[in-house]
Amino acid sequence: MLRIVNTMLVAAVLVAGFLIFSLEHRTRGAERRIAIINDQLGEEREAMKLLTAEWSFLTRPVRLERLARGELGLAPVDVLQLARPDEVAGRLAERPPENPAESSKDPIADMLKVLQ
Amino acid sequence: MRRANEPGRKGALAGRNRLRLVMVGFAACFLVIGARVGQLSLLGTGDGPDATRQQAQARYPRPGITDRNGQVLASDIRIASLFANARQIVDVDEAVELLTSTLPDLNARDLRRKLGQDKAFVWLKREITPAQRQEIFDLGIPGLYFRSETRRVYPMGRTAAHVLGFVNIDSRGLAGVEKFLDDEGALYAASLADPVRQAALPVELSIDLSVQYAMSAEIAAAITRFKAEAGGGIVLNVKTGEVVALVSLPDFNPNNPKEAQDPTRINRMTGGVYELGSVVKAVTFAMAFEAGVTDLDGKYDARYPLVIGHSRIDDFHAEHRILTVPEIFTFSSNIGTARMALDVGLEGHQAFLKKAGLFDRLVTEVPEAAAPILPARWGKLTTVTAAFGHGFAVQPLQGASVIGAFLNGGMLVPPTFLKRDEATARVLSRRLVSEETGRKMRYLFRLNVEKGTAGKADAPGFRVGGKTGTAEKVINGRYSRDRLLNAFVGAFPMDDPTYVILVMLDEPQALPETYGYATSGWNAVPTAGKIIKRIAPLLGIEPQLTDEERAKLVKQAAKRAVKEGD
Repeated sequence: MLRIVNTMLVAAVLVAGFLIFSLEHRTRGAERRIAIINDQLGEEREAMKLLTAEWSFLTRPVRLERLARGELGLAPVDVLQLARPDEVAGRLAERPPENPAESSKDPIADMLKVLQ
Repeated sequence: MRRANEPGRKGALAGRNRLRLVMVGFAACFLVIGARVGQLSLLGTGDGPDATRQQAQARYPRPGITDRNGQVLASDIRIASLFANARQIVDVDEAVELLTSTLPDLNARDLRRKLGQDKAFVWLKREITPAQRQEIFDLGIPGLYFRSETRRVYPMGRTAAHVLGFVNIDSRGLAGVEKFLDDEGALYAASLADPVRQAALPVELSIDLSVQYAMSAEIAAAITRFKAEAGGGIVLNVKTGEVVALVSLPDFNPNNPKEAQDPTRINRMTGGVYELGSVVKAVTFAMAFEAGVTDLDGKYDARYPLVIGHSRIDDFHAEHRILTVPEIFTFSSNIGTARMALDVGLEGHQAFLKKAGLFDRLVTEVPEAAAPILPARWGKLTTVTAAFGHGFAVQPLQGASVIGAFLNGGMLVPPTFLKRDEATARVLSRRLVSEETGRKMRYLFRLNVEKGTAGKADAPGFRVGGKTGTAEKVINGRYSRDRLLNAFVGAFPMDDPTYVILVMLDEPQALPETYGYATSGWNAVPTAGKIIKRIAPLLGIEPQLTDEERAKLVKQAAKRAVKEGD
């Protein structure tokens, strides 16, 4: 009896040992992957910070004003250019084109044609 | 000896018992271990690895700063610097050639000299971009190394510099909100940080970048036009107490903090105190309405100058007649206002100013906060002069916030530079004057733009109201006749005042176009008008033009178009 128990125990120890070893192996693999991913995340976060700062730098109002005034000829909105939807409702075209995408390659031109 | 005599059963029994003991012992150990493993894997731990890591990193990452719409105003950026171990460089000529082709701004001769030295450490270039870093890395020159450092950058440059402040080389805030994050706001900053991820949520300011920029551009233009020494402006949301824009010129670039040491570049809106002149009359009016000594149909004698002891109080735009209360406001009569303050009495006057917080230092998130300058003794003459703003000086932001309290329906909301909602503001605010007084003040402010000294502040459609102030500056202890400090405090839209605007110009000069006048109505007021025209649409104020105004504007536009056509 004792011998059977002993054999079983030895077998159990071997199986458990193998399981633990393989589990540990997998854990290490996972840990390594986590470390790599964390590093990548850190790098991506740094890159994002740099890019948002760069975006902020490029969209700073001083530059946008220079570009808008100089290149596009824009100016601050005049009060006469502002209107509520109900004020302009009467001036809109009766019906917009049925399905602008289907009619031709240039839907905006079609819309303009209808408006004229 | 006994054992030797009793072999067999007893020995075997003892052996088996021992074995059983060992088995039970092992089983118990394994049970304990198993139970613990089960507990750990199923229930988790109270103090897992995260908690340990948190303790290890005591230093919190510094949060970035954004405006109210999320535009980045300050951010920590990791920047690499290139250095070389000159002893490890194999071929100096090749290294120089490759490096100068990648970084064109490097001086070849200088580089050759540096790399030719027998030194283990020479800086080649500080602060290179990540792209350049990769390129240099790909060159594969031995002996080149990078050192990465964190640097605080302010992509907006000068815009909102006074609010942001700056940090020193060790990333410690030395001014503005940056200083707040290290001192009073340290807990707040820590609450934004996520030490595990080494990241932090940004601090959201109440500043609206586009409004801030528009205001600073207009004030800069006004300073140039009127040859003023300095200028400043504030846009304050009176419902939430948020400072939407704060401009003080000349300003500085926070990326180059040395500029900020120049004393002319201080934050005048909170770090300086000024006599706001006639703007303070609004406070006297509110006080008089609140005390019930007069009303909109009241009258005061402004025929003769007011004589107190050896001093004579006279009017700038003297009318020499009996004025009604609205007239006193629109003509900005010193005599009338002084008489109103005398009616309230010395005690009442001081009590009201105290209640409005004008006797105390206003504390906000921007640490550059100056304490008010008050008269040492409060006598009859003090009340008279304080009634029209002489003799006591406060932070301009303080003035704007008190005027805001009159116009928003009577609630004094403490101003803030951090984003805040109306519900929070309601909790923090306290009543300064009754709603009835608030309505009267609104009427007077609007009337003053329609008919009074602040006419040029009108931005058609946006229902502006306001009060002008021209204070003579104190030079060597005396009021100077020709060195003025001009202010305008206004609000829009007057049917439901949401924003208070303050514009200040320091020593503007008279111009031929202003007919030789240098008073507020000719410089600070039109500047404010221009600013409101520009920022009201940005702030989402819906214009409401009367037919008259529309006709006038269309005519003006047509005239402009004809002129451009010529």
